[in-house]
Amino acid sequence: MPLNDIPDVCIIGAGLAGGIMAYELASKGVRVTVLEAGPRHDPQARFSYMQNRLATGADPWASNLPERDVFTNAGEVEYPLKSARVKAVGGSTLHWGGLSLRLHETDFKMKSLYGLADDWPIGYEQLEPYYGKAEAALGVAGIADNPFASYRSTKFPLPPFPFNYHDRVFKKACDKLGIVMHHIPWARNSMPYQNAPACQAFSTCGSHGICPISAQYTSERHIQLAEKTGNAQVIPNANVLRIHVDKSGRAQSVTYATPDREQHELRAGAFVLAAHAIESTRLLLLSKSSRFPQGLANRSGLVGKNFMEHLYLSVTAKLKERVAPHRIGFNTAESHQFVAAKNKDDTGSVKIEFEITGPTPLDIARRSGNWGADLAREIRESYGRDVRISLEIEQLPDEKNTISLDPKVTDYFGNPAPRITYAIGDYEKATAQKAIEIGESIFGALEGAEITRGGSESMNNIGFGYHHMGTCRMGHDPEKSVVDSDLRSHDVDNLFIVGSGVFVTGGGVQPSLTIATLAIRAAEYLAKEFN
Amino acid sequence: MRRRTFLAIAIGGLAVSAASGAKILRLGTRIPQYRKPQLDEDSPTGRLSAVEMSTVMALAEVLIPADTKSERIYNVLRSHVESRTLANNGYLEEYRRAVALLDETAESVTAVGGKFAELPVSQRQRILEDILWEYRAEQTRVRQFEAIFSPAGTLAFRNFVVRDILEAFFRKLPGEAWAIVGYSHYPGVPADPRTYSRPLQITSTSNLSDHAA
Ligand SMILES: Cc1cc2nc3c(=O)[nH]c(=O)nc-3n(C[C@H](O)[C@H](O)[C@H](O)COP(=O)(O)OP(=O)(O)OC[C@H]3O[C@@H](n4cnc5c(N)ncnc54)[C@H](O)[C@@H]3O)c2cc1C
Repeated sequence: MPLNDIPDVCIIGAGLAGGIMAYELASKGVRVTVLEAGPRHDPQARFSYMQNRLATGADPWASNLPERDVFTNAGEVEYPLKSARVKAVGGSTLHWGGLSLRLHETDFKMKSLYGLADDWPIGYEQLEPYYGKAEAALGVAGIADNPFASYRSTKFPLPPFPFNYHDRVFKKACDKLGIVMHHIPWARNSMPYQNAPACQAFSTCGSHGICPISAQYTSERHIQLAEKTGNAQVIPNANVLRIHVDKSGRAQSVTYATPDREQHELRAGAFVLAAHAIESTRLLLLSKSSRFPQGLANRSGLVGKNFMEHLYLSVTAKLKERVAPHRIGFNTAESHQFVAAKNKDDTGSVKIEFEITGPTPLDIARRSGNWGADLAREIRESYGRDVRISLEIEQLPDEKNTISLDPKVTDYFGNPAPRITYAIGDYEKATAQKAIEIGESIFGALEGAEITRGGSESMNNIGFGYHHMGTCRMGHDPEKSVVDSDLRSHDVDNLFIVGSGVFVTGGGVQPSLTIATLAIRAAEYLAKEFN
Repeated sequence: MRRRTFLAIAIGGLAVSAASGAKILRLGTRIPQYRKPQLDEDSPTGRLSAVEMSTVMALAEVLIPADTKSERIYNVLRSHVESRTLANNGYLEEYRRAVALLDETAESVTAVGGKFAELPVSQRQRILEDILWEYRAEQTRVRQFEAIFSPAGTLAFRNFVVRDILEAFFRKLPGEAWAIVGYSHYPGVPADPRTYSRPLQITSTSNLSDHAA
């Protein structure tokens, strides 16, 4: 498509949601232009990225323009946005983990089942076929051995990664407690798939966020596939500043700026906002006009409200027997036993991740006061004795957790920075307490395990999954939601918002498979308008 | 006065004024920040002389935890130190100070006034123990005292030189570093992807025989 043509659809953001939308639309003959704020990294350079990361610790995904990515925190809890996203073609999938899980069917009906939060306007039954399509798109390696999962009509496209040899350490304890462990579905090739090779155990995907051979899925794959159709073009370093509407209230064009601060205009037939939950919100709020004084698509006043995350806690232990960590870059076992509870009155979902991990020789050396032969002895004695249970917990939507425009701080282009106002509620604290008890009980059942982090120490070290959700929630009622179940904004008929911003509730598992699922479904719907 | 004696007297001084404990504690936690050595970002970059570099390598020989120390290890470390002093302001100065500190200490402990690089490994080890004794103290509180009472040069030596060499060993010589725990396959190196689902085959050391079966 020639660069100056007016595309059918302009997609803002080339991350997971934007990449999938681009391919799904382009492959159906829709002409697409993708505007991406960040640069394009050369996939051929991934090997040298990995080597450099190992040799120097340098993060290849760090912002190429930090003044563009400023943000502020105004709430009780500081949210570490800098580490929680990547701005580049591929978006945050450039250093994601790749865990690809379906939400549970109960997650869509929190209000009707538990009297909590709200129901989604669509249910698992409508999404189920699209979940299968999303698993095929991402190349998910798994097996249906999770007895707590909702029903599925398709097989995983790739066989699972087998359990880590040392998962048996946890299994001994879980068997005593009646906790069922099962495999983890990963968007990572257990055999060659979609022109990408099988995993070769470089073991740098999890801890270092790089697969040097692209055996782990990133949305660069879909961007490339979209471009191959001849119907899509991607413009990197194109930071969208505003979405403009015409007199009838339809989105008409965007203004974007390149790093030299030069501004450009792009018109399109429809717009897909795929800038992730925080930047999508900011762009809507920045795009206010006389017609939309509270911000675009914000008649409900809910744009930026109900920001949610998954909280992460860990319980760690030292073992008598030694395990062999760092032989693979990811975990292979988890348990969803406490994900979909019958009753969620007091506490929410808890997912257990079993981690054969611990300090590397370098980590031990950093903490040690020894050197030479004494250091070698210390490393030999302590290496491989630590294991961890990570606990991912659900957070309910709360209107007080918001993304808004900072009144003082501006970014590189002179626009207000996103301001995060965030706190953790009593419900989540109670869930965290329950999660810690679960973790401690597992180590308690493990002979010779000495807990090295638990109780209040775990509680004081709550982390995040880096899953931003809930800022542009979906619903039937335009007064109480921002988009409908096809992700079309209630207020602006040709504006779609994709990504986890539209989630009504977050469930207790990683969001990206659901992001991909919703994007595939929305693309199917949107493509019909152009065909 | 030798450092150890100085520290003992100083701690005694703190105990006497324990009535205002809260203040002192706060002082104790603040001072390390004031005293935290900083790299002088205005000082020039450049190359160490051959003699200085050989002193640094003599230090590396004592510091690095490898079982066997091949010429390859020294080549990698030499090139690391060289690029560090050429690329990052402040490091040339710190490495030079380290050489001076090592040589001064060597002169004061050897009757004949020898240079650090000329001493046998066992004596170099003793010199390091003398300079870095606080580094071995594991408790944070002791480390805070160290931060208060150690001469700034010792702290800078530890933070910018000792750590830099050790970190370079682990990062830039991963094969040697992971061999400490018997790994021949480690992050950054491909392998049969199913290896992790089988028991570990120890290849290069027998010290790790107590793996869970
Ligand atoms: C360390 C880490 C590990 C993770 N692990 C997992 C996991 O294992 N499983 C899982 O499900 N999820 C995981 N996630 C979350 C996952 O990465 C995100 O859910 C997913 O990438 C979100 O997709 P998205 O397209 O909405 O946003 P992104 O992938 O972040 O893409 C948004 C894109 O929009 C661009 N953009 C933003 N503003 C503008 C603008 N104004 N103009 C133009 N472009 C713009 C950004 O530069 C970015 O490239 C992880 C995240 C992190 C950070």
